Amino acid sequence: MLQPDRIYAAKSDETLTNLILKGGVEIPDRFTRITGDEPIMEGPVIVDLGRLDAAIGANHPLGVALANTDDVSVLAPYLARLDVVVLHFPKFTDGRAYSQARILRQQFGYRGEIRATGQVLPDQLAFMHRCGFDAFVLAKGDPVTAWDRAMTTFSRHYQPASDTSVPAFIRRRENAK
Amino acid sequence: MYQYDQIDRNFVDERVAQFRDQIARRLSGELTEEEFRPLRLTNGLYLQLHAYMLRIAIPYGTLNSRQLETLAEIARKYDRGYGHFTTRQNLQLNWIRLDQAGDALADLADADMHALQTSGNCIRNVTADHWAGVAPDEVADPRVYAELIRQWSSLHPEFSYLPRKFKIAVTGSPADRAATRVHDIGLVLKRDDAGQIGFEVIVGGGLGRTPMIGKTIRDFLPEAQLLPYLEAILRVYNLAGRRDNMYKARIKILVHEIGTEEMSRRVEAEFAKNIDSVLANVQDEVARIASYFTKLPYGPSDPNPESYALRRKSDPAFRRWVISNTFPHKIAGYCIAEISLKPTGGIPGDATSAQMIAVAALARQYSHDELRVTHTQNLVLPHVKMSDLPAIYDVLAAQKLDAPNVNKVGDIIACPGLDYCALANARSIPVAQRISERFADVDRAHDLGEVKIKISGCINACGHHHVGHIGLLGVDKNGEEFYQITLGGSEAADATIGTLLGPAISSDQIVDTVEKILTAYADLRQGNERFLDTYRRLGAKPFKERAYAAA
Amino acid sequence: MQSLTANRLDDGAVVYRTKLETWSRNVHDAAVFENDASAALEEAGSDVIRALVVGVELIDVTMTDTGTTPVSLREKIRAFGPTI
Repeated sequence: MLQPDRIYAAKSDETLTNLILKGGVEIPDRFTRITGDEPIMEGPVIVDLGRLDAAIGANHPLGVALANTDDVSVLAPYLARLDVVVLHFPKFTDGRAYSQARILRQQFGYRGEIRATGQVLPDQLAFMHRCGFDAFVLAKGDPVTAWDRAMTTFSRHYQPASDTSVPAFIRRRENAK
Repeated sequence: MYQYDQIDRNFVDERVAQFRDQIARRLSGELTEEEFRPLRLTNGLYLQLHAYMLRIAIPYGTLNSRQLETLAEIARKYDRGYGHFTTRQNLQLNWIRLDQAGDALADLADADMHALQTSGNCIRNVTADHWAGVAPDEVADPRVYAELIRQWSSLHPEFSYLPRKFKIAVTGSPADRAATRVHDIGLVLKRDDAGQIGFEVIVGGGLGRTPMIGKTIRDFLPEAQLLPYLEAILRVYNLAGRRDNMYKARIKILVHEIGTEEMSRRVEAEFAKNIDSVLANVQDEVARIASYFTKLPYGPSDPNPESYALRRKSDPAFRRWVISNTFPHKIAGYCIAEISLKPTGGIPGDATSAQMIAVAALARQYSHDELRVTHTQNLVLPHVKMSDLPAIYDVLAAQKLDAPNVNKVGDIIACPGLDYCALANARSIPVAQRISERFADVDRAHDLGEVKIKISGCINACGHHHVGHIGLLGVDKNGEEFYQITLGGSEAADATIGTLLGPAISSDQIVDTVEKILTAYADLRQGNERFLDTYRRLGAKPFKERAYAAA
Repeated sequence: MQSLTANRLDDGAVVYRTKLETWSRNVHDAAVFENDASAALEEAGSDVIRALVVGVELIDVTMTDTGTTPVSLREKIRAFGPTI
């Protein structure tokens, strides 16, 4: 029996320090993920939520990684200082991180990077993008192909979200004028 | 009724193209079954016992003649020439091929329809009162808001991977015909003291393994705040709903565990943060949708035309059909005609392609090109002139669609059960068939009056057995089919979960036992009491004694 | 006694693993495993990976005059169609 979760988790850890999908292209990730008790090194780092206070003083780009059970509002005092918030999909069917991202964008006006990790699959990229994710560590598939498909499948959406698309009801209102 | 514009048409076409691509990637092996399953489910495609099953959305149960004809054609072309109308106002086709599902959905899109979100852990096809727009007791047409919700919920990026499925129902009348109190969210349209439209918001109802009556968390939500408020509920649920146990993942469990007050507090707090969302500014869209649901050009109609009166006098079968299957319309001289899909010994909710085409023609000629699907698995011609009833009846009789049994003992709700469903433990349909044969005598059935029998083949309760006046739940006992009986349930405004009567009854005995219960009712009733009234007055005891008495 | 069943991926049809390690629409063709069927189950799993079938599982069967026959009502319905 295949155990996809484990395979995806392993792959995402490995590639986190390598390439990420951002702006439709794969770019090198300048951040180093600090896990567990690893020392917080110089340079751009992403730390766990519990070590945010320890990392916040340093004068280099900083990111934080949340579990999908964390309340994102605890980040409020830090958001102006954060360059990256990493939100996790332990399984692609666990959709909590979609709401976490939307709260960050919609309620806290966070403008930095929101990065998706975990079982990030091509067929969910469009949902993630619309909820405010703008960087992705894909667990499977060719990232650029996946991105192109995600961005071109639908010409319009019905509901407003955290992307720049104009929802159907607003387009209709404009058309009626 | 609502008409697609170019945006809606593009959307369903693009959705078909997307699913075709996903099917191709599945067939090539690029997508695993685990990855593909949620994708096909949100396109209405299940893998059942015998084949793939396609569940087609009939949003809020309203469709036009061309759409019903399309369903008939799809059933012929891709399936076996029949379909099954469900308790959620959907149509299921039981014998679909995966490699043809894209073609079937493309044909559907050509008739402005889809199968979007009829399954999966997302916001499901929204349901509404099947008498919407024609019921005399209506506050406002629920379909306007159901359509607004349909669009808002379609591929909602935040709420497509919820802890579990999520069902919303809207009713426009105080006499709840949409079972709003047994939905994840039930919306009851009402007016405040100033005459403004709004909603009572009910959360956390549901059937299944843990049946619950929903709790009101807002007595009056102004119309304009509907979508931001729904987003608040869904966001609270998406973040806090349990994901550790699929049987505890519905919102009803969250509401039960944290309490109604806390649920209300969390929703209101989330809502307060989003109150200025652009979603609160949909008045133009509501007006646009409402313009499709304006009053139809009803001509004058005689409430008691001679042709109708004569036929009623001379033809007892017609008279009985009129008494049980037609209902008052808000316009004098018109009625609502319900077409029972429960012929004696038939499969509840099934219709052949030929029957669908005949009914579509009736709707085109006699009902302003409009039809409804009820959550009781029947069809409705919602705008019928009294003078047209004889002609309609004759066509229905020729199609064997003239069963005079709406809300009677033969009007049984049944899920597909073990004959089709991969989840079922026991068969539902054969039990429904045998009960309806036992009570085939029309005079006897009419004498018994309103009796709602609902049958589920497993604890997931697609047959709504908990809210049947008489509910039957199929269970497997060492490889044998047994049926638990619950009595006293109701899905109406007085929503009640039925009470288990006693030990499960064998398949051989179940029809006799149902008959004993109804005979007890006939003996014990007072005046015009319905079965449910007698049960509520006397409790389970006399029914239990009779049901379990030695033969 | 057990046999292996699955649904074919492209049309969803019910199929049974035969002695020749192919899939048959006819339950009477199903290979019967008297003892441990886990090796056959694993073998059949390769057709899941090859995207030919889904939902491979073992079912209890008996031998009748016509061939392999399922024991449970559910599997009889899968094999022979709805009872209605």
